[in-house]
Amino acid sequence: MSAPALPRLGICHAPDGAANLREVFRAARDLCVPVLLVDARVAAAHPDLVALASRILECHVLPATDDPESDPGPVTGLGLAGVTTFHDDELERADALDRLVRGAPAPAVEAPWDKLVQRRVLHAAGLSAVRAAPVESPDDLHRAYAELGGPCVLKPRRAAGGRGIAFLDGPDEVAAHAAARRVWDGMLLETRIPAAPHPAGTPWLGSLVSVETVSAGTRRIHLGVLDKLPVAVGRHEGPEGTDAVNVQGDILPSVLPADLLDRARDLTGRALDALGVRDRVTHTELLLTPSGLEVMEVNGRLAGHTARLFRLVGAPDPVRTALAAALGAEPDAPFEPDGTAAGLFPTFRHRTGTVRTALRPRDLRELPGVQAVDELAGDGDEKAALQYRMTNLTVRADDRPGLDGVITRVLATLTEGFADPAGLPDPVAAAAAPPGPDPTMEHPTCV
Amino acid sequence: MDTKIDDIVRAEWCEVLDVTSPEPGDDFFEIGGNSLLAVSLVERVESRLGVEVALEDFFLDGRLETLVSAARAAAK
Repeated sequence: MSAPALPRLGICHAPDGAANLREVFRAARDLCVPVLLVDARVAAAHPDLVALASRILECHVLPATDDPESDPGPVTGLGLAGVTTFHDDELERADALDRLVRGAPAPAVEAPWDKLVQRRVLHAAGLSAVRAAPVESPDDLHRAYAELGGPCVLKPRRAAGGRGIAFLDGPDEVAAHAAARRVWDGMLLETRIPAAPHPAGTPWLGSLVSVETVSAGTRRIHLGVLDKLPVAVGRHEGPEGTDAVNVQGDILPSVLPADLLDRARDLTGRALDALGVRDRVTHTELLLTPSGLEVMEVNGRLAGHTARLFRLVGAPDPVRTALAAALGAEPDAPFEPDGTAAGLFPTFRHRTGTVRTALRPRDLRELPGVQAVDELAGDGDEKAALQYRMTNLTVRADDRPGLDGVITRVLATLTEGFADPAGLPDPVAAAAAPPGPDPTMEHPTCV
Repeated sequence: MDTKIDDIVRAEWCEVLDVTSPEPGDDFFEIGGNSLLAVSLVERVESRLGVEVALEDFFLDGRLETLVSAARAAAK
């Protein structure tokens, strides 16, 4: 008797998502047939992508359209059981195509990944103190700032990675930014919530934490809570007067006290309920504040850089979990991590100029605890080439003190190798300093 | 013969990943390799040994020892 055919699952794919081709290929084994769906604009921008993907996966190029329900291309004829994605830019396309192939009704909340929609829904549900207003022009900015009061943050309603953000601390900054920015489509202004330091007191822990959750219908299992390195902000160092904002790392599992961990999971679950989230893995960012936890944003896909961290602590592969969730499967029970792991991508503290270094990937790979080096800024590179990142590497240790030692050695090696410290609090100075926000860092914000 | 194959696969692995002391159980994709680098590695091994190594198999199991075994089997 032959085995039953596996369900076919569409995956809207683009480079630099939370799962690469190999992770998808491997995670799908004996679970589903992954069918890669690539927007024609993505295919044109990455000429090798479709050729490479087609060597290992079924792959189709979709019409270049922002209305995939009206022009789905070949999707309806592919026999798909559902459609999902691991890339933030593909969320709306994947959701629309998923509804199309399933014949599913419109979602409970229209445009749930729009940060303005999230702000309004979460505020109305009593889950967030942040207030927000749409901004499409300089006049809108002045009006919204007067309405909300400062300090505020101007940011795109739909974007990941910290692009296009401006911290606006007073009317002078608002006026200066209104004069400098050229692109105004799809922005929002939101009130800025003060951050509280991470209670663990570790020098390189920031005030953001994230919760990865799998939803099967409305049943939710929280896969893990992660600590973060502080968000690095270069004031006015982005284009058109924006601030250059970079996340610098994730650590699994979080060392928040048990009561805060419980509150983080509970708040995340209630935010997902309010947004009507179903059948997917989500990445929710929370801010530690003096009055408790604040939801910063909910992302409708697995977090970037974190799948490997879960695997390194013995967890089920979250890429497979996400594929199973998209097929409506019940999630596995919560797991107990075996060890601790971190993805580190610290930025240069001084962002201008070119990189001067003799550091090679093998110098970092040979440090104890370093598992992988995916990127390393090279001698002569513009610092902006890797979005100001020194490196992108992964470390593991059996326990948190061990991991702290690994991170200390990595940061020291980077500082020496680049003759420029990372955009993090100096560990020695921070350890000796009284607790409180680091004066060299901006308050972390959603990125 | 097997020793020569092992040396070639190890040398290409080290070159592509920029490592010096690979362990047989190292997983190419978990220590910094990506899909494009994997294609490059497999093609380099194929070119030097004059054999064909299944890319799909390497994507499923990215360990050095598995690639060495696949290269040995392909050379027979």
